[in-house]
Amino acid sequence: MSQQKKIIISGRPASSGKVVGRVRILVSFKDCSSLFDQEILVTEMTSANFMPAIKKAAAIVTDYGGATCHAAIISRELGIPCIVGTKSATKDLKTGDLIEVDANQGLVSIIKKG
Amino acid sequence: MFKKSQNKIINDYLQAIVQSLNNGGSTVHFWPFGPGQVDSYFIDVFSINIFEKFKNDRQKFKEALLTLNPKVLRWFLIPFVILGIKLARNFEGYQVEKDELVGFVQAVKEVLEQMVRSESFCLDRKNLLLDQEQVEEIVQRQAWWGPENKKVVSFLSVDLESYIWSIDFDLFAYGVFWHGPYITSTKKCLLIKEFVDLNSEIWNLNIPYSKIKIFYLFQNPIEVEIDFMNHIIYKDDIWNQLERVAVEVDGQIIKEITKVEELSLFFSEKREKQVKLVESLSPQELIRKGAVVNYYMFRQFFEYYQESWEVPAEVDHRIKEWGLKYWEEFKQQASSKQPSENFFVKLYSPENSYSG
Repeated sequence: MSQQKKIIISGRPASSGKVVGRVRILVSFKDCSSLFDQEILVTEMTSANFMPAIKKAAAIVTDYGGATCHAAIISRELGIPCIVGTKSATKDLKTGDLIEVDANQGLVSIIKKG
Repeated sequence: MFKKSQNKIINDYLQAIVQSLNNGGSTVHFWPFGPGQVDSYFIDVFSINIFEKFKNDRQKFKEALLTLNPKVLRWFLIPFVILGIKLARNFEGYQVEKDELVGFVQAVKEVLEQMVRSESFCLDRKNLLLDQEQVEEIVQRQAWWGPENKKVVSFLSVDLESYIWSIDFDLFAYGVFWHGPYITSTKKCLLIKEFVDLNSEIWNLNIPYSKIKIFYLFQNPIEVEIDFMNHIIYKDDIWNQLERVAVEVDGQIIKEITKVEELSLFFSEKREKQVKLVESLSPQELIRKGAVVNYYMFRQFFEYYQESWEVPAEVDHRIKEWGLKYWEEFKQQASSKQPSENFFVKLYSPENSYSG
């Protein structure tokens, strides 16, 4: 399968790795239960409240945060790729988009719009 | 590059703060409140109390500080009290000389030097609390699991950390800290993550556990650093070099991995309830709880002086009188761009009058 990747977002790599998965935008931690196993959690910033979703996520992408924010710390220990501080992931991505998260480079590419 | 101080101790202290900020120490986007939203209501009252104790009897002050954790002394005491005293000087006419504030930093550093076996402000990127004998004893006595149980222990670690954030709030999170890296006699690298005060008195959660330690033994060498704010920093993935892992609950070594799973579930459920409770609090209640968490963090210090750690009546009076003035004012700042490192150097330096 050869699909055109389009890099649309960059941020700070917080936990290395590369995965492909469907986006799930979470506006609030109250939506955690809407995230399915192995979806990619995209949100402004995680906090203690997001744990139910983080445990199921294949990767995390956040708008804000640095190398020692909640998302970065938790993702490193769980060994899931994480990019923080993208500024616009929650605006540029939509739930259902198929994306590649390259947390080695800090890049997010859209493979297929949802 | 920040402007250096002529005083080596102050220079080291400011350098340590800059190093931590460069490691990603964020001052924006905290839950459930950000810097300034809560501490504006008590920072001067708290700082004057602490500082007067230092001025009255330096030796007793240092003895009292020994009851606290190095993480609390570094990040929750020194910069906070310096800022609080500068605010009191600028706005309330509190009398204090620059040399007294410098002496305060020096006194805390002297206490840290008694507690820590590495550079006291973590400028050597270590936080060594144990001697070699204690390290070897840990390696010998733990019921170590192999990498096959790494995931289970990782879940416990992140569930505990999130639980701590739900009871101490992001801004403080004094109940979790890392120490190490320790090099063992067999050239392995030991990191220890400690969770303390799990049954915090201030929430009445009836947690049957007080302290949990997680021990991580890595193939050596791994490149890992711990800084002034107790961030753990590593550029490469250290977790794939993890050889063994162990868990200790209130001094008891956990031998069954199913117990770790039970603990993870237990703290996950407690966190969920706690988050709901915190989310239900009004801004006034959050301001007061923030003050309570801050004072409670120093309870052993106050107890050493045979004083109550409870929030002073003056703070309650302010919450009532001032309303949400500072809560709203700092709410805007808490979600805006992070200030420059020079801003923080000026803000936390004892050698100027800048208070933001």
